[in-house]
Amino acid sequence: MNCQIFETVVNDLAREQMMEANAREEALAHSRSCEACALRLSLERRLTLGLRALAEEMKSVSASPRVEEELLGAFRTQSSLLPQARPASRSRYWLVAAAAVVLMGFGIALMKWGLEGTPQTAIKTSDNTEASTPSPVSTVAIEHPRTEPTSKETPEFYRPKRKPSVRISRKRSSSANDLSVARAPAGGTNTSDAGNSEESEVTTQFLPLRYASPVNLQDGGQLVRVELPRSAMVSLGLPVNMERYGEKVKADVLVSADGLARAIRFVQ
Amino acid sequence: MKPDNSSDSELLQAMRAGDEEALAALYRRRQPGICRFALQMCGSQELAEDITQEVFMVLMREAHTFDPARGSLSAFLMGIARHHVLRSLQRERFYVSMNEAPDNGSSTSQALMTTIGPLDEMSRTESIESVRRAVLALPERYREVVVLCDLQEMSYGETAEILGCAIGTVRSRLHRARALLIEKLRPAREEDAAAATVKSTRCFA
Repeated sequence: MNCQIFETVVNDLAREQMMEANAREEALAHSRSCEACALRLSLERRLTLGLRALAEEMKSVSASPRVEEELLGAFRTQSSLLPQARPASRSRYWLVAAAAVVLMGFGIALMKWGLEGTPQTAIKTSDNTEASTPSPVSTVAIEHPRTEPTSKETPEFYRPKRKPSVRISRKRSSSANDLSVARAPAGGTNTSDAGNSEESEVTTQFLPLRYASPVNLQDGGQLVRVELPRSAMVSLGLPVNMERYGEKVKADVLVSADGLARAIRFVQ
Repeated sequence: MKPDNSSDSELLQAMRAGDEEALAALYRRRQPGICRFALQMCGSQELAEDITQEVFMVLMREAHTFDPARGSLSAFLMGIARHHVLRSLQRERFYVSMNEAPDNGSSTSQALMTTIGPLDEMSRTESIESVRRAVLALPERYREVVVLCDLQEMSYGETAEILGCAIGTVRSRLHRARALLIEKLRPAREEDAAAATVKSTRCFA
């Protein structure tokens, strides 16, 4: 062993650490033969003794009881807060999640409902009275009039005040040829103006116009209020009072998005 | 569960479940080592107690961060203590102590020379004091390995775990630290010897 190798093991030797027996013997033999390394080992051993004496003296060191008291006090405070704080935060989490689910469900239902249409037909009349017809007949939702008519077939009957825009999703139960008449109950009338609430209309079902191809009413359309000669009812196969043959009759023409009249219903 | 017979992990689990006795047992078991480490590192009993308290406060707050797979609870606590000690030392650097003379070893020998009383006991006390001062005068990176390996008598592996470095790094730092300590203590010892010679000469004169 030389001095350089001795230097690498002198710490372990002085600190009496576990080391290979051969290395230990060689290091001790070297220290006996080398004065500098002997002095080095001696200094290291004295340092070890000094450090051990210091460690021994500080063995009794510990924190004062005050620290333990304060710590346990803090722990009690924390423990008393935990049962309230943690479940609260968890319940808050679940509450938020539940609210999100409810909102999503509500949104989906709203979308579906919007697609299917309202269960009743609400027609806004020219004097701002909404007439509601009970639902079994049709599912038509009528919005406030905004758009101009596109049909060229009914320009002379066009009445801007009575032309609400219509968005129809689909028929729910009855066929278009159903001739049952729906009367809007007085109590079911939605009115914005109380003075006009007594007005109600009796309408037939929407009758598809023969020349029209089957229409996808989900694309929307417009409802145009027109007045027609009663002879028009004959062409649709409806009975006509011959005494009032010359009079005109009100009708709602359903104009689809492509501008063609698709269906008609008569209003009394 | 008897807290005294339980392992650190069991006590920790019980503590997390709100068992105050478990915390008390864990504290009584581990606080002396932490307090000693802090005191040996910073030299102030008050600061050491503050650090000890802070270590267990951290344990109370963040017990879930302890992963037994990564090391023992003792090493975990010592690591927290080390972190707080280093932070405190950084803060303390801004302040200069007015009642402590700069450590140069000769003060110890002067104290030895002027002290009257049982010489052996006094010299042992002063010798320990000089070692303590020499340790405190070491740079932090060397001081902590001396404190952990020599004063806390931890293995190289445990020390490496606490310091978060390799065992080889611990060994080399310890080697350097001890060399620095010998350098610091040598003048004191030489003067010690000189003083002892003078004293004995006077006694027999």
